[in-house]
Parts: sequence; structure tokens; C-alpha cells
Amino acid sequence: MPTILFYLFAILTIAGGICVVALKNPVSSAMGMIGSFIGIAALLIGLNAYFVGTLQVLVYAGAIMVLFIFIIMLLDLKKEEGKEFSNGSLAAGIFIPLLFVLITLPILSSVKADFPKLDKAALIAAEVDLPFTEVPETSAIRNKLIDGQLPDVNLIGQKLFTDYNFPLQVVAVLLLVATVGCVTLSKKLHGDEPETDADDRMAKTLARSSAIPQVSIHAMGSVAEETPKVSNEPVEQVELSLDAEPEVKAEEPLAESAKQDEKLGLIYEDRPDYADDLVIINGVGPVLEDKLNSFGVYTFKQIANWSPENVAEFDDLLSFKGRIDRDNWISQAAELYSNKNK
Amino acid sequence: MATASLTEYLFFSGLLFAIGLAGVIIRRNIIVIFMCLEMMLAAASLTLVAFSRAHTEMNHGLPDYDGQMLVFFIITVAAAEVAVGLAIIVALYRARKTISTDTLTTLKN
Repeated sequence: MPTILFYLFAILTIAGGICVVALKNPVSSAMGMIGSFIGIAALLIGLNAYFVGTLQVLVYAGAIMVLFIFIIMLLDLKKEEGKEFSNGSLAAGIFIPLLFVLITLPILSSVKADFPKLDKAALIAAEVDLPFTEVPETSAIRNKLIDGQLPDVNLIGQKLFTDYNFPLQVVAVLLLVATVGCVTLSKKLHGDEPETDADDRMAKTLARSSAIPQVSIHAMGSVAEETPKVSNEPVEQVELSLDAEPEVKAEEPLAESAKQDEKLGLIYEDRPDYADDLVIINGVGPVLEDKLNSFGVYTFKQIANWSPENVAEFDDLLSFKGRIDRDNWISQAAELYSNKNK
Repeated sequence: MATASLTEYLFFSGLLFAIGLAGVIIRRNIIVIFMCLEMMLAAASLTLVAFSRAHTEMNHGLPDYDGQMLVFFIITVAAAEVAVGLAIIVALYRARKTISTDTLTTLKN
């Protein structure tokens, strides 16, 4: 590869790589990565590795990066921005790679190892050199070599299906296992909704709770028109709580198992019918939800009404250090609770 | 016309690997860390292909395709790895609602 082209694509690749590391938006990172991979593909083609270069574009710049961008879009990562780059990791992240570059620097000052020529004359000579036991006469490889072309794909195919036949089949098994693994990992857990967007989940929860009449006295107001089969159940109760303020505790039809605890605030001894899906709160996972349930916490309203003492108590019980405040459970729960009552 | 030499290719691969390493250490977003890992893999692949091209004389005047075979398998494994890794990230995000490595510290204490 002519030196000028090498430097052109090398700069493209390095610039893409720096974009990946430096840009905060993951989509920009992915775009930089695509540029970087295209540069690497060009460098591979410059090394006469035409097939591998094409694979690089197809598999890396094509399939893998599309998968990355797809996942970035799916996960809605806007809120992750701004939390990047702490000072300690920035120092380590500059120092260690710099050390690595310093180690590789002597390569440049060593003897300049030029690549052997691979022009027409060299290829025709290579054909004469090729043993007949390896490549039979009148094969595509020999014909192309006689014409002075490099039969890149033919040679790779020959290598792959003779010397590397067993690894090839092992890779097939690996791909199968990976496929099965992906399906298993992305299978939805019991009762877990596949949506990642909190609002979607909220809507789902609302719809689900409205299907069970006595559960959602508050939710029913909004959904009652759409689900007429529900409306012949406790209609009077619905109207009672519709104009209720969310803050007023007395409006909530308390289950018999509910009681006011000094340390934990309002808790339920048994699971109330109108229990909420606490996982919707950012920072609460299925495990935490189970823990909260075991302490008698089942609804957004309970969390929204926690006093600072309650929060401290739960911090201890759940062995967190201030995570409830950090993830702002209370304001999240209050918002979810008011959404639910709309 | 002057052509780029093996030394230039090797140093360039090292540089790209170092950038990927920096990304893995600095960044807090798991997806970006994963991308940087892929970049390190690609840099290593480039080294292999460069050596495959440099070993032409030992292989009847043709590039040594053993190196390119290794790259072929690296690309295949990387594709499978990305698929499984991203599935894990999605499952993680579903459970925790975050993919920042700062908040994923369950094993820390």
C-alpha cells in the first residue's frame, strides 16, 4: 500500500478511535467506531488481504455496529450522559495506554521491515513454486496465479476446508450456542415486561390493574371507558376516590392488614390487592422489590409518604448507603402515584 | 512508489490497541466499553494480517494464510461475543435500569 494511502486510512482509523473514547453520546461513539472499522478494512485490503478486508466491512462495520446502534437506541441512554470521566479513571486511562505506546515505540526505530513484493512477476513465480500435492493442476488458484492475480478467496477457501476443517465445525457449534444463549437471555422473566421505557411499563401496569376490578379504584377512572366490562363492578367506589387528593391518606381504601409502624411508616402485613409494580422506580430491581415486599411495602404511595426517619431505617434494612436518596425514590414514587391517579 | 512497511503497520496497531485500552479504562458506559474491546480485537487482527503478508517468502511466495485464518475465526467469535454480550446488557438494563459501571457495584462490598 502506498505510504500516503496508509497514513490517510491510519489517521481515519485513529480519529474514529479517539471519537469513540472522547465523545459522551454513545451514538456518536458508534459512528466513530464505524469510521474506525472502515479505515481498518482499507488497511487490510492494502495488505492484499481482500477477503478479510471485505469481512471486516460486512461483519464489523455492518452487522456488529448495527447491533450496537440498535441496542443504544433501544435502551434510551440519555440520562447516562454527564456522568462520564471521573478524575482517577481518566488519569489511569491516559497513563496505562501511554506506557503501552512507549513500549511499542522502539518498533519504529528498529530495522524497517519492508513487505516482500507481490506483483505479477512474483505471483507467476509463486505458481511454479507451488507443490502439486497441495494445489492440483488446472485449479482456479493456478489459473489465476498464471494470469498474475492473487487468488485470495480461493486460497482462503482451500485453507479453511482442508487444514482448518475441524475448527470451522467447532465455530459452527459456538455460533449455535451463542444463538441459544441470546434467546435464553432475552426471554422475558416471569411477569417481567419486555419494555424498557418506564412510561410504557406504567401504561402496562395501569392496563393490567384495571382488568382486576377491586384493585385499582384510582386507575379505573381513566380506563373505565375503554374497558366497559369492568364498569359494572364497584362504580360508587370509583367516583368516591376520583376527586380525592393523592396526598390525603384517608382516601386510600386501606386493607385490614395495613398498619402504621413508627420506623417503617405505613406497612401492610399481607399483599394488598392494589399493590404496585415497584420495579418501575429507577433503582429498584426485582430482588429489591421482593425485599421491600417482605418489609410490607407494596405501593408507590407508601414510598412517597416515607419520612426521613423511614428512609434511614430502610437504608439500614436494605443495607444501602443512601441509595434511596441518590435515586430519588420518594419523588419518583410520588410522581408515579399521581400519574396513576390521573 | 514508496510503500508502508511492516514496522509502520505494527506501530499503528499498537496505537489503536492503546486507544481501545484507554476507552475501556476511562468510560463508564458498558456499551462504549464493549465497543472499545472490539477495537482492541480489530487492532490485534490487523497485526496478524500484517505478519501474514510479511511471511510471504516462507510460503512459496504467497501470503501465509494461517494468520488470516486466525483473523477469520476472531471475527466469527467476536460476532458471537457481541450478540451474547449485548443480550446480557439488555437483561442487565431491564433488571437495574442503568448500564453505568459506577452504579453496578453489587459485588464491591
